[in-house]
Amino acid sequence: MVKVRRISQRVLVATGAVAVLGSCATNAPQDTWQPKGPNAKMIDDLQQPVFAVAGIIGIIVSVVITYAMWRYRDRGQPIPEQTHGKPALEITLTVIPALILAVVGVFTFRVIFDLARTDDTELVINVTGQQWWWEYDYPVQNEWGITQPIISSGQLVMPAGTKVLLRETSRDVIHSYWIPALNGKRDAVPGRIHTLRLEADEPGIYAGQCTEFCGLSHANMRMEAVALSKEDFAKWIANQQAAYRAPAEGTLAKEGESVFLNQCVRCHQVDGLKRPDGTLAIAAPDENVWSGAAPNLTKLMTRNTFAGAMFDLLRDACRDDVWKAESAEFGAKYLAGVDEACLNVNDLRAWLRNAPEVKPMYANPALLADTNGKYRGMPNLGLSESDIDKLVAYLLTLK
Amino acid sequence: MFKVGSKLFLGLTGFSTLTLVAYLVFVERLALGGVALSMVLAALVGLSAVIIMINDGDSEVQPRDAALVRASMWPLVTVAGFVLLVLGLVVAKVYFIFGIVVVLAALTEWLVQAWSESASDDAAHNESARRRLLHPIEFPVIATLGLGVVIFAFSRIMLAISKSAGAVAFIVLASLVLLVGAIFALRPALKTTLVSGICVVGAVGIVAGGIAGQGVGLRADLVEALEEGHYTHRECGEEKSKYFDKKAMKTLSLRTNPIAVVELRDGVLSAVMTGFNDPQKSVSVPRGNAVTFIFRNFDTAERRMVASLGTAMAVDTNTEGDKEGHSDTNETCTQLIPQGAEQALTIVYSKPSIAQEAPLTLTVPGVEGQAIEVVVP
Amino acid sequence: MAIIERPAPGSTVPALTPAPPAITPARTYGALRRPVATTGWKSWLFTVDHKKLGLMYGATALFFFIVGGLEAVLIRLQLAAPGGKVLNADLYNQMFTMHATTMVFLFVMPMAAGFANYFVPLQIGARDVAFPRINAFGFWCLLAGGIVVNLAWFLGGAADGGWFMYAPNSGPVFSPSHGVDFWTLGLQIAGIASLTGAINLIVTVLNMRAPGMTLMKMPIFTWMITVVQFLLLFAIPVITVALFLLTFQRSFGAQFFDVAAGADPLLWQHLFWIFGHPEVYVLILPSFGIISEVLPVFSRKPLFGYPFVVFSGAAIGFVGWGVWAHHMFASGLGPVSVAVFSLATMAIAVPTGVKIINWTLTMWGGKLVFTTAMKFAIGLVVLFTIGGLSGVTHSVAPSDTQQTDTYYIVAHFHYVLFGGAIFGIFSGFYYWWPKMFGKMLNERLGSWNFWLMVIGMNMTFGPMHILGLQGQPRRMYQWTEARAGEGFFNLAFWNLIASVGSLILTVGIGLFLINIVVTARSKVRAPLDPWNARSLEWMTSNPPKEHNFDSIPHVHHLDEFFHRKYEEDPTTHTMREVNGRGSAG
Repeated sequence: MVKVRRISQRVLVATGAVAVLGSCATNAPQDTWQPKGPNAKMIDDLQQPVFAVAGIIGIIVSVVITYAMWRYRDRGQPIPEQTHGKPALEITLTVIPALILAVVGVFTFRVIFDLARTDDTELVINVTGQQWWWEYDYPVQNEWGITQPIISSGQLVMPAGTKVLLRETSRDVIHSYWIPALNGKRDAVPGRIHTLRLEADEPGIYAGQCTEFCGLSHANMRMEAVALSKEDFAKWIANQQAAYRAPAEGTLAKEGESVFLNQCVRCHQVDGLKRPDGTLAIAAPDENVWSGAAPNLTKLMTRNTFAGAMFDLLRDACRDDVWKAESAEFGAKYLAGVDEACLNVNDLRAWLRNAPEVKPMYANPALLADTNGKYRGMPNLGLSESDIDKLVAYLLTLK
Repeated sequence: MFKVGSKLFLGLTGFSTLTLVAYLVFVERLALGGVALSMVLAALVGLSAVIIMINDGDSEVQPRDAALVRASMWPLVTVAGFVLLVLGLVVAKVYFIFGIVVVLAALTEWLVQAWSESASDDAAHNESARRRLLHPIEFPVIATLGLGVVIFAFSRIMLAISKSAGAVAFIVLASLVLLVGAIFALRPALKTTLVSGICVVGAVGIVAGGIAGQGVGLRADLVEALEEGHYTHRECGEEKSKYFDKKAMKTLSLRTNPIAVVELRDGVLSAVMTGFNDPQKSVSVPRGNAVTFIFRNFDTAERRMVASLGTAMAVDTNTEGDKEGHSDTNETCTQLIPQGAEQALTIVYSKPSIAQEAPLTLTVPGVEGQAIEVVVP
Repeated sequence: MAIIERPAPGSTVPALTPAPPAITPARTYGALRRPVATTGWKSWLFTVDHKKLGLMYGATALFFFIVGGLEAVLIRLQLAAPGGKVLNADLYNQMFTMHATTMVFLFVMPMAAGFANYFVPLQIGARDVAFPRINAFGFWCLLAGGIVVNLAWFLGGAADGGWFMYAPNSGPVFSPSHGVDFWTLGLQIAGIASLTGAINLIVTVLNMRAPGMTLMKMPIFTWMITVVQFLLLFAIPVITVALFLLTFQRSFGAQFFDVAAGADPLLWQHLFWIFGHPEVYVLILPSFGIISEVLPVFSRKPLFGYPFVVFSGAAIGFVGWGVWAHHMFASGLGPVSVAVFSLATMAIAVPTGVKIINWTLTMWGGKLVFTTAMKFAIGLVVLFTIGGLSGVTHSVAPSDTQQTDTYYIVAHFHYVLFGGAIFGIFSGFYYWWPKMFGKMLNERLGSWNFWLMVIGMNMTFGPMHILGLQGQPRRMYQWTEARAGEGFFNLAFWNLIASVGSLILTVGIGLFLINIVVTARSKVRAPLDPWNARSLEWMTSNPPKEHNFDSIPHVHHLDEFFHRKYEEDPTTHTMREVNGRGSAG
């Protein structure tokens, strides 16, 4: 008796737990049940009834079994009639779920094709994944004011209320681009181009994560989609295309620029940066890094995460200010970028000091033989603290 | 259980273990001496194990009237194997490997013969023991080797004669094999000597032909192709390249999700890309990334697509073998394909457009004024 | 309580003579004498007896269960808190790869093979399988493969690409250590075991059934095993090919997955999942078979709808080949493929649902005895239903693009594999232990074992549904507070619960191991038919003699043994004993 009751309690809890407690974490940034764009909403509208039906069926099965356990337990009755089956009952109980699934199937079919549409695209952004960061490039699209290709990384800036299409690929292994609030995920496979629709209803910042195992720092490969109103987006575009402004002579930042030219330009590109002799400094990551690319740092301080969005550029209160802003104010706060007061100096300095120590990357010189002498990620450059001071000052001018 | 021989070898093994340990203690590193000692130890362990295993467990069995040891060819074969080994060290590696194989085979046969002869008084029983042990190895190995030799010889024939003659030879041989095999199957009562005779004649014929073919060497066009890299060297002009453009229809021609499908239609070259509703005149390609273009030719003439790779070093990854090399003119191309056909081209652009002196393009030789710009941001 | 066997009246099968006398070895072959020991370590090393091989499969599998379980506990300890320091990134990646590989290939499959090898010949009334020496060869291949895969731990690091080893991450460039090579080659060797076992069991079942046992009178466990062997027969060659391609890519410079040479990484995914999906049915169907034996015995009723269960098993085996790309809904296949596979996946839920209905209706109207085996069986029905329903939510492809590669998937497959396959295996342990070892596992310890496993399992994998739906991806060596959400019940809380649950689960499984030891030391012998069972294997001694049956029984019914004990009362339609054999309960 006691056993049966305990069994039944266990069974009920097991099935009920998920449904009841599922909504208990508030504002999980990557919650898949809180759509913020029409694509994610299509998915949510489809999945909620399916989950409900599944939950109901689960409860029915549990209740029936619990009841059977109680009602037919051994109370000394004789061995019962050996029924071998009732085909009619079986077929009925089989047909009903089949019909339910058929209905689900019809709606699923519709949504699959709706989510695969590309003919209503308003803006195209190319996304390239590599170990362990995301690169975005905006091809020339004059209707958006994009007159030259813009490259950024980590935070995908896009206009709100716009049908954006991502063309995804990868430079090395398979990654997966996922902003749960805006759509399901799509793998970024080397050698292939996959498309993914993204549209945000309101301006805001939407968190995401690489969701295909891609090696050591897969856990650290994050990104955000930043939706701005169309006006703010135009401002952002204009700023990204604005000419490079060298720091003033004699400042710490100017010394930082030379450190940058000596060390960083081997891999990192800053558009418009010129060497002392006047030639454009063109980064050559293909000669130094296995994946052939490193994040483009032009206008770095207009983003607020770095190192594959593993670290924030903004420190605590400033970060919350931007991340938790209301839609109406978000654009202005985001476009303000990162200044010295809000900079997350500690993480940035730790990164510059010894990147592989804070993010596992195989950038171990001892392993370079496997990659023909090229680094797998940012190596430990052995910078002195004063070099780091100069670099931080310089990076703050990249806005 | 342990006879004199086993005791000797076990003693030697123990002794060499001590030697090795002493060596390691007194000489810090492993070095050549340590390696040699380890190998000796391993060999002794192996030999000891073998000696113990094949030792007769029962001393009563030693035949009282030991028969004279039978004649054996294995010592001779072993020596022949060693000679091949040594020759191979000097002349060519293949003889060395062959020598090792012969030595191992001969030693095995020798060992087993010796073992089986001391198994019992009864020679027939001994022989059957030897057969039981070795036939499951001998037959498959000899058969494989024999077949391997025949097939290799046939390949030499095929390499020597012209392509059309080769096709004929292949068909003729295959038909003969089928015919003879059918006869064997339909007449199971044929005498074994006749059957083996036919097979031997056939095999010897092929091997002889193979030797002749090896003597004649590769046919001229193959020699030339190897020297001049006919099939890998791309000529990216309007004219048909004598070798590179053969088999255009048999190369990688279609795959899903390319970065762009470049179509030549009504004299206009345009790039179709998912996400863009209209065909484009420029394609954005991430640097350092292997991307695939598919070229579709709707023009009546045979056309190819040429991708200029710029003046800064870029890696053309569609050449066979050497991934670091680039073609002579810093461009790569598809083969000439007829109307309605398509072909894929995989490229990695390592340098951005701003590093190039001129814009990177995709063009079709013979069609003027049409170019797709490749923008590498 | 029960009978050994007696030929039924009118049977024309003559009693066979007792086993022939021991073989005298031919003399003087030195160490190459034919092994004839029946006791001692040599009798195990050289055995070809299906029962001994079954026990060796089981012992090997149990060992690897412990290894895989420890790997899992380490994973959960690392993930109990953000920025855990238990495992660094490299070790973590090896740990989750090896946990999955060990559990799938070195625990569930060999354990099912163990039960199959032991009981299929007994259930069909045969003396052994069709090819006993190949059977032994298969077992040693499995053991060798398992050792090779795990050798990597000691030789430079284990495989670290995930158990489905997606290319190009598994290639020589991105996985330079030899771990993946050990993994590939070890699985090739273990695959030989599955393939030879498949051929062996299929031939056995088709040719060596007792007289009168038609296919539709065969016990359901044997049926499920037969379907599994057909699945293996066609699936193992596919993974073999894929592993060869990977080996050649890694070791001989082939370019099968080299993107710069024009290859498409999706080739690996397709090949792997064409194997991988039938593989999951290989994992679950044996457990389905086990509980399809256990539930009728402890409900005192036959399996409801035996033909439906058989045909749904065959349907699963068949349709299971057409759903592989549901593991690839986010891989960029295009809407047409995705739609086809989505609908096919929904379709395959139907035959699986049939089984749940049948098991429930077996219990309905029965006389239920809640032994530990029965508890595990009922646990399977409930937990697998939960896992199956989350699987149905995956079949909706757009929804799956949110769920795949998150902890929601991890929750799904652990419910079906732990709550399904493993609970079935434990049910089989408790049910068949007396027949294999002559002693019954302690029921009190068994009860504790069961409850701790249920609580631990639900505590570990239940929260993972929430974690996944709220955005925590899988295969991350650390998770961050920044993505954990606010409130008490945020992701940090559920991660902690899951880790605590895994420790409870470990204790529960530990109790099973203790139970084994306690039982081994107990002197109480089990009766020949302790459960009042229904099928032929209970008509042998404890453990069965080497030749299994003194005389092969002639079979007239499904559940032949039960019918020899009971007949139907024409008025009440309940069952009563025949001639005093069997019992009233």
